[in-house]
Amino acid sequence: MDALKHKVHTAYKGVAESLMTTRTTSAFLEKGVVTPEEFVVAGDYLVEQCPTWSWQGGDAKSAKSYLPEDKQFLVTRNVPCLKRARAMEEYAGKEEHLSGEDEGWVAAGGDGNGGSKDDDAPDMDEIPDISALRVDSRAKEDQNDDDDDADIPDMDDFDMCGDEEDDASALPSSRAVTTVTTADDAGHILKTRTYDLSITYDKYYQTPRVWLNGYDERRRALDPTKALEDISAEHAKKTVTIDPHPHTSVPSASIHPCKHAPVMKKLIESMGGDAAPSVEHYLFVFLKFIASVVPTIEYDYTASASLR
Amino acid sequence: MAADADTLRFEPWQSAVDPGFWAELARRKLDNAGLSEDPWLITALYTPAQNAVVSSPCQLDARAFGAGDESELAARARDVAASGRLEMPGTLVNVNTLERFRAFDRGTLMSNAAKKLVEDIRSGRADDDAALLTPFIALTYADLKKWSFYYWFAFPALKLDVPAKVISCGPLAEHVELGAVADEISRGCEATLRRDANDPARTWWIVDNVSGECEPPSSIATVRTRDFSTWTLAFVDPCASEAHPGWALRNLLSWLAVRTRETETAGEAAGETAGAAGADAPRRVRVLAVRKSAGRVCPRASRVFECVLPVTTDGNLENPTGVGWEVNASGRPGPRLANLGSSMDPTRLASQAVDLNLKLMRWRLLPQLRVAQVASTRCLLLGAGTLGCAVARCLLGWGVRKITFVDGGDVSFSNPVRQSLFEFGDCLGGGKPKAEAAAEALRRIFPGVDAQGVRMMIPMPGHPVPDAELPRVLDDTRRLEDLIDAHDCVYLLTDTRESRWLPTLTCAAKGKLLINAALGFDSYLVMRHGGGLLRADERSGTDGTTTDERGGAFAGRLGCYFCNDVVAPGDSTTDRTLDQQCTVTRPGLAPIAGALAVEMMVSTAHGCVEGDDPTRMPAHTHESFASSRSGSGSGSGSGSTGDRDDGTTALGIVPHQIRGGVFDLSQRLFAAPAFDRCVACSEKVVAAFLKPDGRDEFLRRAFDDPAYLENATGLAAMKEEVDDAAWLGEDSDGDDF
Repeated sequence: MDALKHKVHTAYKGVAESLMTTRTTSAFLEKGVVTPEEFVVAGDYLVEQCPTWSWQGGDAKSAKSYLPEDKQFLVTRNVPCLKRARAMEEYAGKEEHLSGEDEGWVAAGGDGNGGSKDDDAPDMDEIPDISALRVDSRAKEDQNDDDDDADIPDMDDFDMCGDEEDDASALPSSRAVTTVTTADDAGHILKTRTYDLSITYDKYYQTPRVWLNGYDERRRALDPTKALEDISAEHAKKTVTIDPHPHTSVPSASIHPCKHAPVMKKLIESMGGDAAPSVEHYLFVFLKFIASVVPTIEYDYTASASLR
Repeated sequence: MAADADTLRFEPWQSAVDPGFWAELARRKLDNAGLSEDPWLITALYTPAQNAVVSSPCQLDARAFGAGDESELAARARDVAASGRLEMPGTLVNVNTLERFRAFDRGTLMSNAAKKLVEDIRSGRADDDAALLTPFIALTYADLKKWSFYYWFAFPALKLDVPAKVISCGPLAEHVELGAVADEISRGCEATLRRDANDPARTWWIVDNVSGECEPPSSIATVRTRDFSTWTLAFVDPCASEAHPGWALRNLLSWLAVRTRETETAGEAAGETAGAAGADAPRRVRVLAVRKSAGRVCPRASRVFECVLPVTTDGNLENPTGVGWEVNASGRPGPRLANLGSSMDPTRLASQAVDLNLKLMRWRLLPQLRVAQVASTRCLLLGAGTLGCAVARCLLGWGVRKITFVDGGDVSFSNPVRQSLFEFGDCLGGGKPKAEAAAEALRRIFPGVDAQGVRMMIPMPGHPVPDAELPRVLDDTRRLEDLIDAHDCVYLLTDTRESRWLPTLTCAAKGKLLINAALGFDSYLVMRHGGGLLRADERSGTDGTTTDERGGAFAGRLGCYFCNDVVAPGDSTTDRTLDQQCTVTRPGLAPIAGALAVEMMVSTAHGCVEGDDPTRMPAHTHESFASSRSGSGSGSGSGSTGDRDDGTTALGIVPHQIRGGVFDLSQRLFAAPAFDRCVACSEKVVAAFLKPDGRDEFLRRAFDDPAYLENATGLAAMKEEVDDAAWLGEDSDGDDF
């Protein structure tokens, strides 16, 4: 039922987007939303400050006319993710995810009533409930190597494994960096996943939207539902959906942007003070918020310049 | 060969394949490659190591296949440059069966790659295009039914008798000599990496040991003329390991060893050796592994390896050995399996699977099959009964996506057992409207279908319309017309003779392809109607019949369902007993006739080239059937177009009428010309129908009184001319044809 709801909403959103005009007036301070032009300004600043991020034009067939052809979405690749979000939450115990000045960010994310509901902002009641996609709380990825391989993506019984190559100059795979698994204090085996993250502009919600494409420690593409293991429990149940990536069509986990605007508004307000942040800092604030959703994916959003 | 402690060990590449790559491979296999196993040239991408945690993989996505027009290639190059990635040229061999994959001669694949490496190095090609030194091979098998992809990558490297050795390694920032200029070097490397995506100098370059200056464009000439102790070889290193460089360096060192040995040999002759003891003497080279941190070339992350070059013997070059098959999760060289079936949207999966079976027909049996053309045909089904259900199911089989039902009835308790789209539940509560229930069933069977149901009774001659009803009925005639306009092929599948009149007339007037199926008790008729008006040349013959020279095909305007009749359609249900009202037929007939109707449409599609009017396609008969058999010796054609020399199509002959029965299990083909006084398709009725201001009145009178049509067409006059009217009495006896 929830999956159906999401499907219906996606179809509705598609029609609505085709009818909606793109936002042209700036409202990121008042509503937490950005125009496509502001998205580009903020993206340019992000790429300049954090060169791990870059603009991509993608396939011309999927290009959105309201964005420059070479600046359709932002991407950062091969981002390590050392442990699953749940594992981190366990260690964190009762501590706040975010402390000090960040207080209220997570709360805002979970609170659907905080947003403005004026004529411009899409109706918040449309939030698709995707609890159907919940991660099995007893997922066993920590316990044993063999669990993942139960479906034998690599085939021992396949009877065609080659002989070890007699090659003194090759580093044995067990010693390769990415496949090295380490044990943490509690003796869990940690598997390093990597993610390609991308940020698109969502015309309907007038906010950026984050997409996750993961690889396991052997660089096999992750089933998108497995990406949910790297999303904080609070969000994994509520705001993450699996949809085709708008530029590659690859099914990807995505943090649904239905609540991005009110959260961004609160965050920007909380930074408040005398001088309001300028729009070019929007994506830094946004990525800081996303970091609370995917706490173990170590992408770069550290601005060297002050955000004010 | 035992590894000496000081042997330089390279971290192998890891392939990281994006699901989009497999989707594109599947598409190209199905649409373009067919059974061919010819290798494809593809391109993978990598970056310098971005952090100390994970090495950068060799990534492949949907754009790895590269083909496209210039602007696509330019857009791709722009994205590659923007994200600071480098290209690796690869060869993909996609085999047809799992057995082939299993038994594939990988040894030859690898030794060929090794030979090519040697050639590229010795010929000097690699001097200018360093990407040739980072080749890869992908051996794949795509199980398109399960959406599973078996794959095994190799990153060929030359295996040399005397491998490279490492003397020391450490971060650039702490290097005893280069550390002093580490920041300059980093900046220079950063600038070099930002060069245009196609600039070969992005793969490796030279750094001056004293000034720290980067010196692109790198060239072998630069290397040859300078003392090895004065410069450092910088290369883009995807590896994050502290103690090891990435695989990308391996062939680069072999290249350097070969190209400088040759120089030296030449140099010795000229008496200008740079102090080396001999051609085979090992020599030291300093290598900078360029790596990044926080998106920029970083002197702490980048590492300097003091190395001894490998030695290439003549044997290594004459009979090169290649290594580099990728390991799988077992830690040993082995294939991998990407199973995307579970992560794909099931609706999309179903859609692809439906097309798969059709596209597979093109691989061997019928390369001319116009799968896409057939699938994109928009079909209007008038009647959602036994025939409507049978036709719709068969259309799904041909991949048709747009199907619209028109029916005015509700599902009754007798329906589900004969009408394959309905179930008991559809009959409850008075029964669901048939058209919508049938459309719903199609969507349940295949979510990719665009099925609609329109509840409408088709207005009929001989069923007088009360004045109060007239606007609604006339409105229905226009709705029907709009529906016909919005579709490419109309199936006439109603159960009375009179309900076939208006659709026949409308399609004749519009020149729309109409396929008609009708059932008797144990016999059936499947036919296509001619469209448009009779041309002058077609009228000239005594009976309008002409015979094509090509195998006896009939080339005149084809008749419609009513052309053979001399009685206008009238009320066939009032004052009839139940067994006369219902089409009482043997249950096997509808599936037979429904299937033939669909196959007739598909064959018609193969008999026309673009722009042809399908309603004007000549009708084949058994004579053309015979000649097509004797002509080619088999049913399958070989031409690239649908048309064959004998006039038949790639799918065989396309008759006008198929009449068959299950009593004598016979099936005959007929071709009949249009009748110039036909009540449904002759010039006079079509003209009256097309006349904007007279149309409604014409239709009203036709509905009210069938005799009106007979008079209008001159049929009545003709009947009067015929003295012996005895044969007129034989109206249908329950059969509706």
